[in-house]
Amino acid sequence: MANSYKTTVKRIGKRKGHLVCGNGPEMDFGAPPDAHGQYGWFTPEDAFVAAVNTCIHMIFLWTCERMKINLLEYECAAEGFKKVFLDKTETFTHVVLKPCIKVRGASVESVQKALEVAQKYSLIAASIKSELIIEPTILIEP
Amino acid sequence: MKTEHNFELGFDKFQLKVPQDLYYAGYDTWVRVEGENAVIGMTDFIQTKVGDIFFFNPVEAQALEQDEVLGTIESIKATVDITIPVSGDHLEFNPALKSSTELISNDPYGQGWIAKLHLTDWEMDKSMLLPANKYFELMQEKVKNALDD
Repeated sequence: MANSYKTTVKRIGKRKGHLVCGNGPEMDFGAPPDAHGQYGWFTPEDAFVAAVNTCIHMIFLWTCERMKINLLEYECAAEGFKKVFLDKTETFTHVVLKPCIKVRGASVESVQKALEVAQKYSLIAASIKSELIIEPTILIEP
Repeated sequence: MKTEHNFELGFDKFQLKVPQDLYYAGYDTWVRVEGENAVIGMTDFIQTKVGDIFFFNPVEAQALEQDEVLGTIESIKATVDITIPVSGDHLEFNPALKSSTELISNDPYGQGWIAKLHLTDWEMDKSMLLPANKYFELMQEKVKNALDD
């Protein structure tokens, strides 16, 4: 089991860089428009919110498998909320995930339990200091 | 560390307990003797190691010999056989585990007990078991090995 994960970044423009991820993907990135960047660039803010969203996604899928929940659909919007302090430092205070989950033959309680477990076992969720709020919509198919 | 009733090992975010009044198998089950009967469960170490437990599947048996499989647990991390530390008959499983397997994690030496039975060969079985202080030593080695992996 890996105990570390690596990325490399290199400057390729005035406010732009190129990211190489340890697992293979590469992409350009830059600042968001509110920080002198441009729309359409992959940003560190996107990466942070995406890290939470994708990690919970993967662990939830695994948890459903282990709990024998027949998962039909999973789609999740995530939003990170930041606070700007007087000295212009910033922090993500909380991240809200709104997963829409469709399952067959399982109870709402078991799906909620799977979400709790996913949050507990998510490396990213366990590592961030922002509060993580999950507001699911759960649909049960008989 | 030794408290009034438990040996305890604290590390990272864990505080693993080993009650002094129980006997232990090296494969991380415990037995509490109550006259001619016994209660059996998983130790704090093993329930912590396997993570959240979702299912306990007991074997279909009225009687078992020491070291036979008592059932299987399915957790977030693994599917593991649970081995019985003593021989006995009139086997009865904890009915609460059908709907509340989290009892094993929350209270492994209490409400999370796995099975009760009538002892059939206690004196012989006992010679194969460890007292709490010896299991505590073994558990510390297991923790070290698990963290080194």
